[in-house]
Amino acid sequence: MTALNPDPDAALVERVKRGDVRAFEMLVVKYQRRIERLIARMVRDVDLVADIAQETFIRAYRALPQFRAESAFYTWLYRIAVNTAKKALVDMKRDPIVTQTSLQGSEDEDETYRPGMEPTDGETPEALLASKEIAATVNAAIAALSEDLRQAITLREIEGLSYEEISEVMNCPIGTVRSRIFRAREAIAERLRPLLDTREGNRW
Amino acid sequence: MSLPDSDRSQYRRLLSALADGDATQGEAARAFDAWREDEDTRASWHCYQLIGDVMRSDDLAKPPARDESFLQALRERLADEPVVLAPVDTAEPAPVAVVEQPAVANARAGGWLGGRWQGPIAMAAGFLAVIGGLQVMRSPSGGTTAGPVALAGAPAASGSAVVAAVAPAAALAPVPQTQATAAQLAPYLAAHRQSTMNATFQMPGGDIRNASLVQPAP
Amino acid sequence: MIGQPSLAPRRPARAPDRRGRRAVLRSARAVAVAMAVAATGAVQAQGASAPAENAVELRNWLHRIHEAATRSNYVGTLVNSAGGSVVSSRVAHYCEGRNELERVDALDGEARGMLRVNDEVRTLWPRLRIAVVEPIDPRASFPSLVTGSEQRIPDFYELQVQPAERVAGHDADRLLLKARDAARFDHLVWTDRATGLLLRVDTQVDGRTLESSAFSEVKIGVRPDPNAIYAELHRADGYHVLKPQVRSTRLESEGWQLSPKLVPAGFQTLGCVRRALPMPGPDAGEASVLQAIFSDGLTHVSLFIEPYQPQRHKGGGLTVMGATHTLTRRVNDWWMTAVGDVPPATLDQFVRALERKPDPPQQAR
Repeated sequence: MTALNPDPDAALVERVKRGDVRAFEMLVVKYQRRIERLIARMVRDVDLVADIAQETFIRAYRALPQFRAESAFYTWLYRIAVNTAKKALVDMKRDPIVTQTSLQGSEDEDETYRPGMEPTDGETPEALLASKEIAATVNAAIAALSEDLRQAITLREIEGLSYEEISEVMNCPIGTVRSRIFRAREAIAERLRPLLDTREGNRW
Repeated sequence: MSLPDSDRSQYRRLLSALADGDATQGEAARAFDAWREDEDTRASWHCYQLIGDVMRSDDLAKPPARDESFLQALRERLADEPVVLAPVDTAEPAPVAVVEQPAVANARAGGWLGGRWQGPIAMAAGFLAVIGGLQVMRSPSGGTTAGPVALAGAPAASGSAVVAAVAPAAALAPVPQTQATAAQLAPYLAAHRQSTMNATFQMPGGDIRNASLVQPAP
Repeated sequence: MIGQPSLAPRRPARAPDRRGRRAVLRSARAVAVAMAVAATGAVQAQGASAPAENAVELRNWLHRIHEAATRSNYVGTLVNSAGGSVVSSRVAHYCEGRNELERVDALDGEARGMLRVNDEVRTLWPRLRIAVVEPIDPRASFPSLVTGSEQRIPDFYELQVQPAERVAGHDADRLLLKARDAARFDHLVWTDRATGLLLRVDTQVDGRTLESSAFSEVKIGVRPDPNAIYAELHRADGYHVLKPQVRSTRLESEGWQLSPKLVPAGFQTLGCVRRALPMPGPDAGEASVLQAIFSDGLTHVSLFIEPYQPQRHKGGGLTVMGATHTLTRRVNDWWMTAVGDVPPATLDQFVRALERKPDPPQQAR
């Protein structure tokens, strides 16, 4: 990793390597949706997607000592996911019980593919509606942000710039970048939390 | 356990910085502890990550229920996986003062290479010491990453008559380790490991971590 | 740079050959015996179990573990955690006829690897293009064969069979070798149930883990790939070769003796060598050092003795890395360095147990 583009996951990976399993959970929470979406492009059965995603994370956990930070953690995880899914497909092809509809050929690896809401098998109408609501809330909240906050969080989350790079673009100290991104997140989270907090007790 | 509201904002800030790789070691350590202890921290982490995902792609917007059960299921499987890494026991008080090691210089401010091997150590007299593994360097203790504690030799309470009375603990307290002393000891460690590799209760390849090399500098 | 070795088996693992199969059957029978012994011993497990009962059981475990270590073909990733730092390596071990081949590649820190063919070990440093060649002493590798330590170990460690666990995807038996005194540490050992291969070893004191070495994943019973070792040896052909001098000797002939009252209980001298240790320092790059190696059957202590040199030998004291303690001390005109996975007090005793032999009385001419 270059000095200008350090892996933001480095701290978490380091912590997991020191024996903190729960730090690995933080990585799971971060990447689970993306990994599942990636797998869903290769495998149609929703339960199977979740199984393969679980398998991916277990493999990543086991192989973490071998991870040498020559690539970003997500790149490495991505490859594990693809390999795990491919292996599952190969195993399925051998299984006469598996039907053709479970298999899907496309391997579109475009990270920011935006076709709109893709209906996936197994999602209830309520879940679909809830998803739409979440997306709408986030988008509305961003639109309501002040220019500074919106620019900061957009540069970070969509353009993937580091704090250093953002401070250059926005011509302000890194401390200000950190503060703006936090305030942007909290402003969006304030609107989002009521939608997410639907159960009592420990959810995570 | 949950944190008082005044602390919540503080921890959320740490999470935000950690999410972007901008937390210092101390901040990250506090954030990891908060993740263990505090539901709001975990929920906020999920919330921030979800926000980022949705900003990049609407179809990553998902109600949390499925994500929550995914994590619960994975937790159970992870519990089955043995933690092969030595647990960092931070709860136990040190019977002897933990020795603070001088920080190994690292390339980035607040970077995560603190304590990581950076390259050969140049010795004063024109020798080059290359120490293979990280073992010899203890990472600077950033609050909660203190490793196992040094022991003062405690006299045996058992009936073994041959174990004589032991020197007072102070005489056996560990000395601060510098790069120079680490380089000094490396050849002895390497020789010791090499002599005892393949002993019955040793895992294989054990001496690779202490392998070291000292050469006249070119 | 040693890249990732191609350690993946080229064909699916086959059933062990006849000799391997016999070894497996022998081991299985040994395990059955061990299990039976453990079962009858389990009733007494609540209290301390006596050394005599332990000895039979322990002998079976020892043999099984040793067989598996020398005969198995396996490939895996090894993780060692100590003092908050984690070091990983990739390990391959093959048994080819009567030859034992081993390859270890470090996955962290300076690029380095180890290649072993039977008793010769080569440590390669690709960035520096240096190969260090050293023999290993077979006596150190299986003490119980030579010194009957299977008899001694139970005197100093209590064997407690623990509930089984899974390690690196394998069902594993778990044994606790609990130190009977404070001169040594507890060892918690996981072995593969099917083959007896060591999967994980933790060094503990008072229930706290000081150091842990374990496979994070391992494939046992792979097809042997000797080329993984030989090709790598060949690749290092142009390297500068160092062969540090190691010469067998005896403490007594070097003018030293051990005071038996002070030597920590259970430790016997395994051997003594004079070796050239590379030294950083103002004078020559190598120092001639005497190394005495001791063992209680399970763990080892090295005592290094050399003439005291003020410019090089400064300070002195205890350092700790995981379970490994190092004690340095000036004793008169000598500089002692004691190293081992034992409590510091034990090292201290070794240093104090060592004394110069008195000069022989002058003979009348």
